[in-house]
Amino acid sequence: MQSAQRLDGNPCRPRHFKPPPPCAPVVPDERANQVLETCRTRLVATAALFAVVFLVVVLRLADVVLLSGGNAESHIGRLPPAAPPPPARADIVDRNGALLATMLPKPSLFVNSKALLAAGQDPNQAAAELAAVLPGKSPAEIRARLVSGKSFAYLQRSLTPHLQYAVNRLGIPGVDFTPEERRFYPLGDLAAHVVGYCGIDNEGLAGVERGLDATVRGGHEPVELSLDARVQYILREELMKVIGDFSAKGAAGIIMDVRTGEIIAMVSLPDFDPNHPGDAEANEPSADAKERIFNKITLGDYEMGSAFKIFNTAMALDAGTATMTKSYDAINPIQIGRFTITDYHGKHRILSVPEIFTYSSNIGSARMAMEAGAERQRGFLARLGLLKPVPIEFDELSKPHYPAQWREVNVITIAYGHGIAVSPLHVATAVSAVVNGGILHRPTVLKLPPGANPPGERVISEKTSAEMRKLMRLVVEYGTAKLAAAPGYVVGGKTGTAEKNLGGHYQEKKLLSDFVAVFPMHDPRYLVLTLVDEPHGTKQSFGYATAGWTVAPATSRIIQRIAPILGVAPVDEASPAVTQALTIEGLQGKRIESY
Amino acid sequence: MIRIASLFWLALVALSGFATFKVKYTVQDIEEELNKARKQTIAEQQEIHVLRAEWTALNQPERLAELNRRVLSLAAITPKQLQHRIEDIPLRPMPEPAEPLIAAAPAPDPAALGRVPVDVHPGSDPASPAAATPANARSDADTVVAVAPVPKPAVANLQLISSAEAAPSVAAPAVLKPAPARLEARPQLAKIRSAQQPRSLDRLIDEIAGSR
Repeated sequence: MQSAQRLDGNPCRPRHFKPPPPCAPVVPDERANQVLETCRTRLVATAALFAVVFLVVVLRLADVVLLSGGNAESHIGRLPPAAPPPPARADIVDRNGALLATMLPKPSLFVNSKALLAAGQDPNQAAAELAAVLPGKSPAEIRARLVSGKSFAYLQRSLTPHLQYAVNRLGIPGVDFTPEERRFYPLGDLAAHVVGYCGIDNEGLAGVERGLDATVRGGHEPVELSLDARVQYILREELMKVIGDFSAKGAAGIIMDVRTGEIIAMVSLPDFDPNHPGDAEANEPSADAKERIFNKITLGDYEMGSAFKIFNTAMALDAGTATMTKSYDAINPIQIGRFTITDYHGKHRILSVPEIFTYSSNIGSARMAMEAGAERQRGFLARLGLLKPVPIEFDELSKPHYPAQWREVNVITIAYGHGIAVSPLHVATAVSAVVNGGILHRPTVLKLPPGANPPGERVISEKTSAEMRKLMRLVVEYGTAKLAAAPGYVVGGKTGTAEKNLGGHYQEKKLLSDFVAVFPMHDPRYLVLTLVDEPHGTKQSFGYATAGWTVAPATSRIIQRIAPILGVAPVDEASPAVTQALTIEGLQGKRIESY
Repeated sequence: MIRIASLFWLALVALSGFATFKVKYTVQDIEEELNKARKQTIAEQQEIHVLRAEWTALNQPERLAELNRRVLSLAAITPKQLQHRIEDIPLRPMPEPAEPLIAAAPAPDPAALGRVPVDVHPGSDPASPAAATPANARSDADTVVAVAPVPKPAVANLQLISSAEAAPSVAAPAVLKPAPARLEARPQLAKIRSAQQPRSLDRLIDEIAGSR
């Protein structure tokens, strides 16, 4: 009884426990008592633990519900930022951030005919409304699809945002869009050859789109090009003018930062609209489309003519076989084999090196090259990178054509830019090295950070570079490119006019006129190379189609227009700073005979 | 006693259960709101992207050139207009507090610079456009002439201004001949002359002469 009573008051007592009948004698059991005591203690401890935990939960709940909930805001940062899904291809922008290529949603419009009919829409009225919005679709055509009974029928592919908005505004049930993306080039044909274009599956097929396909495909950050859309426009406009003025077949131009090798503008005309590369995608593109897609700057290889005298003179001066005061016999034409080397602007007298360069004497240049020798000439051209494709971010690169065996006749013709065909990009890169103090930079279409000093390779001495700058200035001051002068910008350069070599024969009437200019010559910043393919002389040019009359005046206009954009301040051309940098010591007092 | 304790705990359980559900639903609502906001953010970002493309397309240099030709007729900058860098142009001297009248002269209209000859005499034609400016309309504008006895420094200044302003058709010769009766002065000119202390004026001329 005693034990039962004790059990009664014990919370451990099971509910069904019944005290033993009083008749039975209860023997006090010390052992059982002990067990019950332990059990009780444990139970209390556990209950207390649960109570504490429960209270904590309750307190937290009270905190969240009744109070502000503590530091919930601090978790915002853990959320991923709201961003649209990454585009299939990254944007391409110019050096100022103007979009050159981007992905645009180009949804396709389809109709679910079942839903349309189920919604009780009048198909005639809907067709009329849609036809008013969609260009080039007749109401009957649209109506046929609206009542087809199919759950999916395209009405129009690749809608513009404006069209999508217009269709949405009609609010016709059952008409919907499929999300699709297409590559879009907002500036159209402006930088077509540099940016390139994409195929229907968004794979890069030309230009940067192809050359940097992996970067553009993977990256989410825009690809920044070194191009400047404004400069590109000016170059393109002036070249189009040259084509128009001289009824030429084509033209091309490149503007390069001589200190870094960045390409600021690159134009090849005729060009194409990368939004509609059209025929180019077909398996057998037409000749015209091929011509348009062809990038003359990187893929073309031309005999650049007298512009090569820059390299010839730099080679002779750098090797020390010629000096600025040395003279060469240019009285009589050179006979070698079946060739006769004559001068276009013949002086028929002994000419000094500056005169040879300024009057573009073939005979003098040939004599300088013969003196230096074949090995030196070949080695020098190789050092300037003129004998291998240019390392740049394009796939469309030309392989230079040059003689396998460097004979004496090759030495002579290469001296004035015949018998070797390179791309204009080769020439621009090499001339940049000649004028910038002698450092050959890798050309690039990618923007370098401002003030960057990319690594380069020394190809000529500082002194030779300074002498070449003086010589190139003479050409514009007194020589074949007087029309290229742009007052204040101290232009220097070298003209080149080559007869085109078609099928092994030089065509006298088919010229390639090119001009490579650098400004400002006393402290070179930018190089402008322009060339025009098969120009025809006009009344204004007195029948001439040579570089001095075609691309040189265009270069003057280009430089005057782009210099303010590129931040080149005009200087007083007669100021001591300029004249000191460009005076030829041995020639002081002597006057270059005006041609 | 046990009853009371049980009741307390029971109430607490019920309360916490209620609170839990309340929190859950609130969070659900907030999450929904957040998702909506995120979706809208994305939609708007995409819209911005489209608008950026459109902006670029509208800013095609070719189109801008055509608009310029039709509306503005601005010509390309010639090297002549860039002869002086901004740091080469001297600052306009501070107006002297002693001459509030001149200091209050309005900023000169650049279009008027170099073109409109201003008659500073009190009897000037009120209908002339320049006479409408307060500095000239005041009858004591004579003092302006009086404090400007040396025309030469003003001319030097003027040349600098006009070449910096780069008005292509600056009527420089007309300005170079200041006749006593009809001084071809302008508000800007008068201000520079009168507000300039003689010494600093000399220095300015020296500077200009040195930079030439």
